[in-house]
Amino acid sequence: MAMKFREPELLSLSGPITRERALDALLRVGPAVGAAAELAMFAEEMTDVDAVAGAAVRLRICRHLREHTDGQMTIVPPRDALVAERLLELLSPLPERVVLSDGRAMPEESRYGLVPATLIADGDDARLAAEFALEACEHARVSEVRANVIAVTIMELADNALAHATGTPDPPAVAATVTGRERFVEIATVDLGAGLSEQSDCLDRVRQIPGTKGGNGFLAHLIRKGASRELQISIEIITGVARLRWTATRHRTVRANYVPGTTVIVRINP
Amino acid sequence: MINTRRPTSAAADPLVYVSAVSLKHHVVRLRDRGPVLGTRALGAEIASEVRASDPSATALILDFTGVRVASSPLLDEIVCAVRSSIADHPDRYVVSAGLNADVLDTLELVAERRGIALAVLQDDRLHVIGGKAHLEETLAAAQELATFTAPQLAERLALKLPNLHQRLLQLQAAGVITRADDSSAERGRRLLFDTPDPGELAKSLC
Repeated sequence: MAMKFREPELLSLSGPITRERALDALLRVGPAVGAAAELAMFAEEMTDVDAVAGAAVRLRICRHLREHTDGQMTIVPPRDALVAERLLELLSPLPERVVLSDGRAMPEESRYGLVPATLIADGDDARLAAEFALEACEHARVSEVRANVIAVTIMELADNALAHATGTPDPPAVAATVTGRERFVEIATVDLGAGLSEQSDCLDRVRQIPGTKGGNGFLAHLIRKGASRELQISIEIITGVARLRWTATRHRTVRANYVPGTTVIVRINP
Repeated sequence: MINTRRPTSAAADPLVYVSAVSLKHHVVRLRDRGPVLGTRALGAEIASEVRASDPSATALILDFTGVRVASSPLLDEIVCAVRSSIADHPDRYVVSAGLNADVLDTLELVAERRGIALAVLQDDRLHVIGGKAHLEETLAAAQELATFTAPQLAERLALKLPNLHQRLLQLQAAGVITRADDSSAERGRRLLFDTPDPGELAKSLC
C-alpha cells in the first residue's frame, strides 16, 4: 500500500512555554496548508509548561483537526523528563489523530495536571470540569475549603469564557495544575473571542474592570472570598495588548505584546 | 399563618400569639441534581420546580444540603424564581437552607447583584442576605417575638412605625415574615406578623 504524503506544518517550541509565550507560539495563525496536513509540534527544547500552555496546546490541536479533516498531529515530547511528564499529563488523553513521536504511553496517574486541558463546548462541560476538579482535589490532598473554591472558579471561568467566545470556531479550553508540597493550584481558561482582545481600546477596557472594593463580578468576589478564607488568590488577565494583575491589594493593568483571545489565570494558594 | 412555638412564653406574655396550625413544608432538594450545580439551563429547571411548588405549604424550603458548589448563573435563575414565588404567595415562607460557605457566598453575590433580599437558615438561625444590615437586626428581634404586631416590634427596636413598616415590607419580600389579619382585634383592622421557627424548618432538611 502506498504511503499517503502529508504536507507538513512545523511548530517549534523552545524554552519556557508559559503565559504569553505559550499563547503567542501556539495560537498565532499560521499559513494555510492542505486538508491532509500533518502538524508536527517539536517540543524537545521546552523547559517549562503551565496551565496556559496546556490549554493553548489543546486549542491548537482542536484548530488543526478542524481545519484539516484528514490531517493528524505529531508531538515530539520535551527532552526534560519532568517537563514532558507535565505536558503529557495536561494533554491526557490525546484525541484521535494525535500521536507522540516516540510512541510512549501517556501518564496513567496525574501529579501535576489537576484538570487536564479540556475543551468547554457548553455549560454542562463547565459543570463536569468542576465536578472532575472536586475529585481530583481530593486525590491531590487539597483541603475541602480550597477544593470548593477551585471547583466554583473553574465553573465560573469556563462559563465566562463561553460567553466571550461566541462566534469563534473553537470553544474555550480550561486546565488546572497543582504543584509543590503546599499544593499550589493554578487554573487557566483560554478563549479566542475577539470582543476584547481586538478592540483598539482593549487596554482601557481591561483597566476599567472594577477592583475588589467596588466590583460585583465573580473575579472581585473571588478575591474577597479568598481573603475571608485566608487563601492567597491572585488573578491575571491576558488579552490583546493588555495585562491585568490583580490581588487583594493590587489591580494594575499594563501594555504588552499582542496575543490573541482572552486568558484568565487564577492562583488559589494556602 | 400563625406560629405554633413557645407555649410557655405565650402563657406568661399576653402579647404573644400562639395557635396550633399544623406546619407543612414543601422542600426542593437541590442535592438530587448532584453536588456540583451549574448552567443556567439547570437553574431554569430548578426555577420551574420552585414556581410549581405547593402554594398551600407553610414554607418553601430550598435545601442545599450536600451541594458543594453552585454557579452564579444557576443561582441567578433560582433567585429570580424565589422572588416571584414570594410575590405570588406572600403568606408562605421561603427559606434557603443547608448551604455551605461557598454556596452561601455565591448566593449572596447573586442576591446583591439583583438587589434582592433572601432568607437563609444557617446555624439554627434565620438570616437575611442581600439586604441592608438593619434587616438582620429587625429579623432577630422579630424572631424573639415570633408572632407580633408592628407596634410591639417598633417598641422593641425603638423605631418609629413608618420606619418599621419599611423594614417589615422588605422582610416580607425576603420571604421570612408573613402577615395576617388579627381576628381578635376589637376595633378596626390589625395585622399580625409572624416569623417561622428555625427548629421546625430544620426538621425538613436532609
